[in-house]
Amino acid sequence: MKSIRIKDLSFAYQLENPIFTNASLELPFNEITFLKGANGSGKTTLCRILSGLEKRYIGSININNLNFKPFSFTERAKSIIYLKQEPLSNVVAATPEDDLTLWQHGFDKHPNESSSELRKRVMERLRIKDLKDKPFWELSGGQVKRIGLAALLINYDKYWILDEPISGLDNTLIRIFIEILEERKTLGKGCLIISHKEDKILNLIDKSYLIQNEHIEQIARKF
Amino acid sequence: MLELKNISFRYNANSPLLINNFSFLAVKGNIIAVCGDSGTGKTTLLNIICSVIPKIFPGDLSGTIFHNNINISELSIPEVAPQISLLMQHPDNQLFFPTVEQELAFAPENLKIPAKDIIKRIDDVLVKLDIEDLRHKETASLSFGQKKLVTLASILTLSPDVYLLDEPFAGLSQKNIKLISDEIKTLADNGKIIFLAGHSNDIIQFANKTIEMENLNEKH
Amino acid sequence: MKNTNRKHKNMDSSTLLNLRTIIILVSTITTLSVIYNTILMQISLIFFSIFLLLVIQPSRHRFNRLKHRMKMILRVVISLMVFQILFRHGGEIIWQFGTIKITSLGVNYGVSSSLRLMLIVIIAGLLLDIPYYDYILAFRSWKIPYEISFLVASVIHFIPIFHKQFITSREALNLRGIEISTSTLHKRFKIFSALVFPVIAKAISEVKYRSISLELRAFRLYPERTFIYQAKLKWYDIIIQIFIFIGFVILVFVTYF
Repeated sequence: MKSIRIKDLSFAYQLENPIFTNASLELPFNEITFLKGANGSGKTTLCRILSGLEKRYIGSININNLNFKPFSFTERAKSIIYLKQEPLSNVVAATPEDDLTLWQHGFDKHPNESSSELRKRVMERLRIKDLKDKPFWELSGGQVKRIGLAALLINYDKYWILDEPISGLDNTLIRIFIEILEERKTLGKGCLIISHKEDKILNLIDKSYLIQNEHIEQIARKF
Repeated sequence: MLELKNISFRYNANSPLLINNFSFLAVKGNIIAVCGDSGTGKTTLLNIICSVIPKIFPGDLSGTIFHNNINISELSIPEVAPQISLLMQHPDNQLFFPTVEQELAFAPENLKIPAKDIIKRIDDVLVKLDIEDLRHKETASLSFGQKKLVTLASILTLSPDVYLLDEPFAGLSQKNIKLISDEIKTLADNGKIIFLAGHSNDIIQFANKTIEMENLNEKH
Repeated sequence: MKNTNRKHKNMDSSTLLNLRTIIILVSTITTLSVIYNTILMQISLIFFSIFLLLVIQPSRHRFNRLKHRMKMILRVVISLMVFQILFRHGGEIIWQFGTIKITSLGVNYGVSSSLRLMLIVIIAGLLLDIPYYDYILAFRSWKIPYEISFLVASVIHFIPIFHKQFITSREALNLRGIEISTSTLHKRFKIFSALVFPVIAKAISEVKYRSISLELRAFRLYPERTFIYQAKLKWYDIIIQIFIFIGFVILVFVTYF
């Protein structure tokens, strides 16, 4: 089964303050996994380790039974996409149109007709089509957040790692986001959601975990 | 007492009025929820109340705002600050100092409050928000949630009469939301006025007044 | 409510020596480096600066950072040295091949200016690593108006902010599978502009928000403000400052008489 398997993960930014000590977690690609933990407990650190931004860990992380550590960013980006909590951290280009083009084509050749169709559809779904040429410094926090969600749709088939995806979204957008998660679930595509608030997505979660005392433990679904 | 009289606002001549002839009265002890979807003008309204619009962000604003019978458009922003202050959404733009303690000291230092009293304010605020362990930590190394608590703390040490909080709960754990909500209720009990802008239902449940931004937008 | 966690007992500065002493020492070092252009002087000053660095805020982390910086500018230092050696002529000729000459003056200049460059990097690292709040306190004790101290201090403050933003942009590209190390030269140029652009655009758009945050906390409301910290001079600060003053006077005396 396609998954990421974390076993006996130990990590610390400074030796005196370990974040994880022999923590384990399995992330099946076809399930929606929910992860919660107190502020500062290591949620974002885990995302950074999974996405390859932090490599100085001890323990094993396997993707489909292959050791994940030596994977380059280019290779990782083929299977996973990590959306950071702070909306502006996910944006590179000035406008939503440019940013999504960058996702599709990198710095390579010019975009073609079919890719611009996809961008249009994706931006329409997230209600940012009228904002497609507006620079990010003129957009509100919620609007910048939607650029990040649009990027997820461009990377539809990958495993999504989402750090607080719905904080800062209004109810309409939350509803749209939940619909997207539901659709993907029926197609066998899952994600990792890290958040404090599970109430809106309770029905979609397959398994829930809690980061506590440098460990990751599964918890019951009733909160 | 904070009085908004006939406030109308649009960013430029081509856009419809974001705020259409809005009047509002807030008195001591009010907790006011400012609700609405993205783009309806929640942040804009808060910026207007503390006079950042039009003093720093341009726009077409008419109407007046009185705080304790003083027209705030006649004051400079630093003069407004001890009366009305704003906590913005993104904590990174509001953290300047290497350590948390220095950050919390900034506002009362500007008010020329004696050092001993400033230390006392810092002590109190750190206890109230349960962040005493962050006192000497580097602001750059804090997690997002911790940064939000610290920026709130840095306004609490200022202790203005009116607090404008933009999305104060976004990205916080339930425990921290409860801490902040309790602090807001205490502030209101002590006669402060608090505006909370955001989407979450946490805001609406303990507010005693509500502003729905959609009702303020000009219909076209 | 007892305050048990106070790191700085009397709210003093975070470095062993007062920043004022450090600034005076650094000015002396750079002046000496410029006046006495000999290799011996540069090397002694480099050793002294490293000693200073390790004494003021000793930590292995800092030493590693220094090594990293030295590695990064090594290429520049060596090219500068080679350039000077080949093209500065004067004194006796050490080696000649056709029109290419290597002279004693060239070697002297080449080596000592490269050493001076290394010295500057060490000193700049030393100064930039000190939390900028200490600068605000130092300027205040020299009776500089607080607005100017904050202005200068905030420039220092912005350097790590730009650096952080640069890293965030680079990470955003990495997360899309774009890496500098595996890209062609042409693409590297495009990547670089994609990295620099958000840094500058964000900085410019954020300037307004940052100044709002300061003003809404009453910055510049009054001509004076209180400070919870003080950076007092300790006995060894005063002794060092006196020593430097005496040393300077002797130097001037010896040089001109």
